[in-house]
Amino acid sequence: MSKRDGVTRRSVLLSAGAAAGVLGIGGSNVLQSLSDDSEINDVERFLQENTVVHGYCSPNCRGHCPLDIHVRDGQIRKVEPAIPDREEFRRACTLGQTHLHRTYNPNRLKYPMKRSDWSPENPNPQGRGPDAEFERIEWSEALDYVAGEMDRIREEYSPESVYFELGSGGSGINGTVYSRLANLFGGTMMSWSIDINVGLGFRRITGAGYFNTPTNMRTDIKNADTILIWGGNVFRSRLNPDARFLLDAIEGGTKIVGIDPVYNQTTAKSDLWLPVKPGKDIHLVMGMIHTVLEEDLEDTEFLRERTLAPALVRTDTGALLKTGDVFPDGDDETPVAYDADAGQAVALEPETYGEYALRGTFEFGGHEVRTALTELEETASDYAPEDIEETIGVDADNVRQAVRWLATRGPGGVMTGLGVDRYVYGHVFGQAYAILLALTGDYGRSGCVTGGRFAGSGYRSDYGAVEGSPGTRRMQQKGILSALQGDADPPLKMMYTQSSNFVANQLPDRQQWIDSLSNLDLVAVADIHHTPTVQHADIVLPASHWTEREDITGAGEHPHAMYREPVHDPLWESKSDHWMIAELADRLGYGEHFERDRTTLLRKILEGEDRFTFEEIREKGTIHLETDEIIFTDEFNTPSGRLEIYDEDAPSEKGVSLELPVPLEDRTADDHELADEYPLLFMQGHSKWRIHSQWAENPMMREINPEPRIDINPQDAKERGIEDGEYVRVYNDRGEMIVKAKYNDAYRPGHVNTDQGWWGEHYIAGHHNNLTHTDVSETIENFAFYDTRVEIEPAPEDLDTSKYDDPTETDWIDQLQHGGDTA
Amino acid sequence: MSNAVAPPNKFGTRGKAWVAALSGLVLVGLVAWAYQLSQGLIVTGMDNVFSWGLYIMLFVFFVGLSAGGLIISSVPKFFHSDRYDSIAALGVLVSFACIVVAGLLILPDLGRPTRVVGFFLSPDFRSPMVWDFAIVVLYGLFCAVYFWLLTRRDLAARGSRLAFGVQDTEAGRQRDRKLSFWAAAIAIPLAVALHSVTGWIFALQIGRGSWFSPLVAPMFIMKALVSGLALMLVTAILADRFTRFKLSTELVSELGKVLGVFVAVHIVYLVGAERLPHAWAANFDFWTITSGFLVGDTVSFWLWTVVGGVIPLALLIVPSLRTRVWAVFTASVFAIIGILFEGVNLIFTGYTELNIGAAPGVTTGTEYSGIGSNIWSTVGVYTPTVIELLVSLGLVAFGALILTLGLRYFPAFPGSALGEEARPQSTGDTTAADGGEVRTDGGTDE
Amino acid sequence: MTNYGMVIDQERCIGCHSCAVACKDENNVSMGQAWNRILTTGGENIDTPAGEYPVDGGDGTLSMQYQPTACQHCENAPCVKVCPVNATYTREDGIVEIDYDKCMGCRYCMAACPYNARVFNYDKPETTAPKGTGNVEQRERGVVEKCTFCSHRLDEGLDPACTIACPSSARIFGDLDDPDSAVSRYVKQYETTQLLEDLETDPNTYYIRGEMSPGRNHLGNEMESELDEPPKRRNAEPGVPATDGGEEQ
Repeated sequence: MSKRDGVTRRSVLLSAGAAAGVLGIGGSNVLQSLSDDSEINDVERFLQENTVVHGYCSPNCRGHCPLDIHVRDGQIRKVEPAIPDREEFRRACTLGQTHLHRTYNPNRLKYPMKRSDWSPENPNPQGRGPDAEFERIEWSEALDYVAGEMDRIREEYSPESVYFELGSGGSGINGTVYSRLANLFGGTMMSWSIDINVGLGFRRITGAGYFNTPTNMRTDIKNADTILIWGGNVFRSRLNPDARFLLDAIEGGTKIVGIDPVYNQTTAKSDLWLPVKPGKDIHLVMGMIHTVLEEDLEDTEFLRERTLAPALVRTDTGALLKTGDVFPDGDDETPVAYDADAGQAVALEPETYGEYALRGTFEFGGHEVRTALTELEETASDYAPEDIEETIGVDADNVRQAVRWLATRGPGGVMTGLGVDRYVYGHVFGQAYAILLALTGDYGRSGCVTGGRFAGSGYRSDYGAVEGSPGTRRMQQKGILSALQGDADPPLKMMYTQSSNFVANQLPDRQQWIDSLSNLDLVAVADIHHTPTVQHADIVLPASHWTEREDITGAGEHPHAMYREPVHDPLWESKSDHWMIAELADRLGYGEHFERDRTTLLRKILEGEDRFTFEEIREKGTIHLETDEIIFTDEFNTPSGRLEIYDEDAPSEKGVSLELPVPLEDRTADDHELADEYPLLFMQGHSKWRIHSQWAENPMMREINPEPRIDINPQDAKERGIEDGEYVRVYNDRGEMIVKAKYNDAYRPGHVNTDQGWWGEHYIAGHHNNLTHTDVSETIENFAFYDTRVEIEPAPEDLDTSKYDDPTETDWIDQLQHGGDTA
Repeated sequence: MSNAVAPPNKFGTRGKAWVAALSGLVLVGLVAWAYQLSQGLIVTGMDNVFSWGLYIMLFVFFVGLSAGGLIISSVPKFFHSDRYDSIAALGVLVSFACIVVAGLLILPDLGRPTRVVGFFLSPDFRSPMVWDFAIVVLYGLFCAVYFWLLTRRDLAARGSRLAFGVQDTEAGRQRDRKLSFWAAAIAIPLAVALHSVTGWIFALQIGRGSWFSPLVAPMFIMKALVSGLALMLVTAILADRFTRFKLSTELVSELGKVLGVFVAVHIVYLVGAERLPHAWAANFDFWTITSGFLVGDTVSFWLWTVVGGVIPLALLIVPSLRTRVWAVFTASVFAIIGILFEGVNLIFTGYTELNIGAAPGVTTGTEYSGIGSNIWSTVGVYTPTVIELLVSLGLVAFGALILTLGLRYFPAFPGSALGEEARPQSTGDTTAADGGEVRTDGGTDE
Repeated sequence: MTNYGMVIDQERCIGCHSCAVACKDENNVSMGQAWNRILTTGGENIDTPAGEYPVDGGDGTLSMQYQPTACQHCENAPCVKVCPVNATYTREDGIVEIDYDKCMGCRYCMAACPYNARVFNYDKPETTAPKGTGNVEQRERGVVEKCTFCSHRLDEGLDPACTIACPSSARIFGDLDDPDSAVSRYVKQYETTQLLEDLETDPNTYYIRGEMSPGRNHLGNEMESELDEPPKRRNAEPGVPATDGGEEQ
C-alpha cells in the first residue's frame, strides 16, 4: 500500500512537473514494453500518480534497510531511507539508496536465454564461459529444458545429483519457495563455508555464534564504555547504514580501540589503534588475556557466577573434574569447584555465585587439579605483550592500555568484523576473545559488546518444507566442490542456481570451480543481472528486481518485519523466482504445493505470525517486533551452562588440542614455506561500493569507484618499481590478476588488498579469486580468503587497458529507454 | 604621383588569393562553430576543472593587441605632434580589427550564445564581465569612428561614399586635427580602461591562485603596449612589403626602441615586481630566493619570458641591430608570441592547481562515456581541440580580412589620397622623422 | 530573516557517499557530474590516509578524514558577483541559486568559485531515469549548475536530500539567523571552520573538526523549523520527550 496519507507534502512536491512528464514518459519504451504485457499492469496503476512505496533492501549485508521508493509516472525516481515502525532504526547505506540504478540497469537480464551451443542431447560444457553466446527463447521452452533435465537426471542418476544452489543475493520469500521445491525433489543443497569460523569458535565457549558472533541490539552500543573493534572496518562494511549508533557512542565518550592491520574509516575514529600484523590476532588476544590476569583486572564475581574459571581441571588427563569424581552421588557432567569459604569441593552449577577459588592447585579424589583460570593463566603466560611485541607488531603499552580501558571503564567488549574469520584458524580467535570477555565480565549486561551480529528479529512462519518431502542432501561448500568434480556419490550432474554468483566469482580458487562445471549437463542460473556466473549458464532465467517483487522479510539485525510493494511489473520478460519455481513445480508434478498468487502466498507464509496481520504490515510497511535488546542474560547454551573458558571437548588442530586457545597460523606465518616466493599477504576487504558481487555494475558506484585496484604500501611498490596508478600483475602459484596499483599508506608493508566482489570482466586480466585457495582447518570448513600469499610485479607492457583508459562510448541510457527492443 | 591618388579598387592576383584564403578560413571557422553549436562545448578541450581555454586566452591576447595602434596614433596627437602620423590610421585600423576579433572570440566560448542578450536584459553591474563588455563595445565603436575621422577627408578626396558627405577641405582637415586631439584625449583613458578592466576579469578572482593580484591591471596595460606596438610594427613592415605603403627604417628603429622599453618594463620590471615578493617570502637563502624569482616552472612561462622578453630585448637593445628591419620584425614577432603565452600562462596558472585538490577531485563533466569511465581529476589539464583551433583561426582570419579590406578600401596611409600632402623625405634625423611615405612605384602590390 | 546554512560534522562523516548519491538522484545530476563530492583529506588517493604506517607498532601518525564538498553558499559569493547576466543570484534566504533560463554558459562563475563547486553541461545531461528523476527541472546543455541546498524541498518544508541520506547524522541544516537552531548553536559550540576561510567568501557551510557533535538524526524529513518540538536527541527512546542534543546530557 502506498503511504499516500503520510506524504502529502512530498506528494505535492513530487507533482511539480509531473504533468509535463506524463506524456513524455508515457511514450517511452520502457513503459511501452510493459504495456505490451496484457496481464495486470502495475504501471498503469501508478501513472500520473506520485507515490511513495514501501520497499526494503535485500542483499546479504543483513542490513535489510527499510526504504521509501519514490515513484512517479510508473517509474522509480529516488530511494530514501524509510522511517520504520521503531523510527530510530531509520537507516540505509549508499547502495540501498541507488536502487533506481540497479532496477534500470543495462546489465539486467531481459529474456530467458539458452546458450547457443547447448542442447539436452549435447550439452557441450566447454562452450561455457566468457565467449559463450546466448539466444533468446520463450519462458516455456526455458522451463521445459530445466524441468526436463531435472527429470532425466533424477532417473539416470539420483535426485541428489541435482544441485539447488541458493545464494545470498536476495532475502525474501524466494529462498523459502526454492528450498520447498528442493526438499520435495530431494536434491542437494549447500551449507556455508564462509563467515562461520569465528562464530563457531566463539560458540564453543558461549553456546552461541554461527555467522559471526551475536551481540546486543545496536541501540545498546551507546551504553558501552570501551569497544575493541576487531578485524572489521565497520564504518565501511557493516555498520555503514546506521553508523550513527556507534558515532553517538563515540560522541558520548565511549573509548574505541581499533584493532586492524589496516588504517581505515573505523581506526581513523578510534581513540587507539593497534596495527596488528595480519594473522596475529590470536597472539594479541592471548597477550590481552595475560594482561588482564597479570594486572588483576578480571571480574572475579562474574567469573565465579557465570564461567568455568573456578572449575577444576585434572592435571593428568586435562579433563574437568566432575562431581562423579568427587561425590558418591555425583555425575560425570557437572564440573566441580573449590569453595574457599567452605574449604571443600562443590558442584559448579550455572548462574550460581559462590566463593569459589579462582586460582590454585588442589587435590581431590586422588587427582591433582588446578582451576581452569590457573590453566588459562599458565597458557597465557607465554604472551606477555612485551614478549610478543615483535610478533604481533603492536606496541606493548598500547595493548595494556586497551585492556585497562576494557576491564576498568565499565561495560564494553569486542565488536567483530569478519576479517579474522577469513584466516584458516580464525575459529581460535572466536574462542580466545570469548574468554577475554569472560574475564572482563562483558556478557549479559547493557553496554556489553560480544560480537558483530546485532540482535534483531523476523516474522514467524510455519511455511517451509512440505510434510513428507524427502529432504535434501546437505554438503558444505567445500564438499560441493568435490561433488561437482565428481567426487561424491551420487555426483552432481546439474545445478539450478538462484540469487548466486558463487561459482564464477565469489569462491576461492575460482578456476577450480569453473573447471568443475564441465561435469554438469546443465547449469541453469536465475538472476537479476548478467553476472559472471550467468555467463557460465546454459539456461538463463531473468529474475525480476527486488523493487518489482511484492515480498516480506524479517529484518535480521533490527527488530522489524518488513513488507515490500512492487513499483511496477517486472521489466522486459523478467519474472519473480517464485513464479519460476511454481512453473517448474508444475512440470515436475509438485504443482499442488505451490501457491501461484503472490499475495495469497505471502498471507499463507504469515499464517503462523500472531503478532501482526498481513494487512497491518502491508499498510505500515514495517512492524516493530519486541526483541530483547540485551543477550546472554540467561544460562549459557553450553554443557555446563557457563562460559566454558576451558573447553573440555576441544578439537585439535595440527596435533594441538585446543582446550585453551593456542595461536595457530597458516600462510600468514612468517616462516611459511611460501613466504620467500610470495612475500605479500593478500586480503580482499569488503568495500562500500558493493555487497559481495552485487552493485558491481551500478553506474552510480562505478563513477566513484571505476575499476579494481590493489592497495599497496608505497614502500612495497617502490621496491618493485611500481608507480601509483600503474597496472601491476599480482600472482602466486595458483593464478594471477592484473589491476592498477593504488599507493596506500594504510597498509602495512607486506600487506596488500583488492576489494572483493569485482567481476572477472572488470579485470584487465585474471581475478582476485584466482589467487585464493580452498584450504580449511581440520575443525571448521571455512574458506580462508585472506590467508593468501602473492607477489607483485609491473604488468606486461602490451596490455589492452582500453576498457578504462578509453571506455567505449555507450548510449546505454538511451538504450535503456528502448529496453524492450534490445537483447 | 597622381597614380597614387587614384583609389586602388582592385586586388591583384596575390591579393585576391590572400582574400580568398582568409575568406576560406572564416568559412571553415563558421562551419566549425556550427558543429560546436550542434554538439555543445564537449567538442572543445575544456572541462569543469579547466573551464576556460583557447577562446579566452585569445580574447585576452587580442584585447592586448588592440592597444598598440590606437595608443601609437593617439599619444602624439594628444601632444599636438604629427609624429607617427604616417601610421596613425593603420594603427587605429589594426586596433579595430583586433577588438572585433576579441569581442567575437567570446561568442564561441558561450554555452548558449543566444542568451548573450542577458548583457542588455539583466546585467549585473558588479560583474567585471559587464564592465568589459561595455568597454569592448565602446572601444570598438570608438576605433571605428576614429578611423573614419582619420580617413574621411581622404575618402572625400577619393570621392568615396564612405565619406558620408564629408568634404575634403583644408578647413575640414584643420578641424579634424582638432577633433583628433579630442579623440586622442578619449582614446588614451579608454585604452587604459579596456586593458585594466580586462585584467580585472581575472585580477578580482580570489579563487584562482595568482590571478588575484593588484599588479594584473598594470601588467595588462604593459603587455597590451608590448603586443600592440609589436603588432603595429609587424603590420607596418608587412604593409611596406606587400602594399604601396612605404615605411621608413628610421621609424622602424625608433618604434623598435620604444618596443624595447615596453618589453623591459613588462618583462623585467613588472614580472620581477610580481614574482620577487613571493619568492622572497617563500624562501630563505639568497640563491633560493633568486632562483625562485628567476626560474619558472612551466613551458608557457619560459615562452613568455624568454621568447617574449629576453630575445626581443637582445635584438632591440643593440643600436646597430635595431636599425635593421628584420631585427625589429623578429623582435616584434617574438614579443607577440611571448605575450600570447603570457595569456596562456595566466589561464594555466588559474586552472592547473585546485584550491582543494583532495582525491577524488572534481568531476570533469566531459569524461563519461559509460561504466568504467574515470570522471575525476585533481589537476587541470587542457589541450585545445581541432574545433577550437579552427574556430579561432577563422576569427583571426576575419580580423586579417578586416585589416586587408580596410587597407584596400580606406586611405589608411597618409598621402595615399593626395600626393602633394606627402611628408618631407626622411632626413635621417629621428627626432624629425615621421617616417611614412607612399611609394611612387606602387610597391610590390600587383 | 532566514539565512540557510549547513553544518557538516567531519568527525561523524564516514565517507560513504550516500549524500552524494542521493543528491544526484534528487537533482537529476548527469552521469559524470557531481554537485556533491566526498573528498578524502589524507593521501593522494581516495580513501587513503596521510602519513606513514607505524611499523614500530605504535598508534602512528596516519590521518584520514572526509570532506563532503558542494556549493558552500557563500555570503560574499564570488560567483554571484561575477555573473554578468544575473543568472546566479543570492536568494533572500541566503541560498545561491542559478536561473537556468538566463545562464549563457560563460563559465565565469566557475572561474570565480574557489571550491570548484560548479559543473557545466558540456554535453546534454544524461540521467538513468529517462527524464531525470524529475524533482527539479532538467537542465539544458550549455548551462552551469550546482547544489541548491535542495531549495525545491525547502520550499515544501523538507530538509535537503543529502541530510536525509546521511547514515551518520553528520549533516545539519537550518537557519543561521535563528540563534536557537541547531546550526547556529553548533557553529557557536563546536570548533567549526569554513573552507578557504582566508578568501573571505564567508560560506554558509561550516565544518566541525575536533570534538564530535551529536549531529542531527532524521527521524522525519521535515526541516527543523517545521517541527513543533526541537528534533529529538539521538537515541531517544520512542515517546520520551527529548532535547536536540546540543549539549551533553
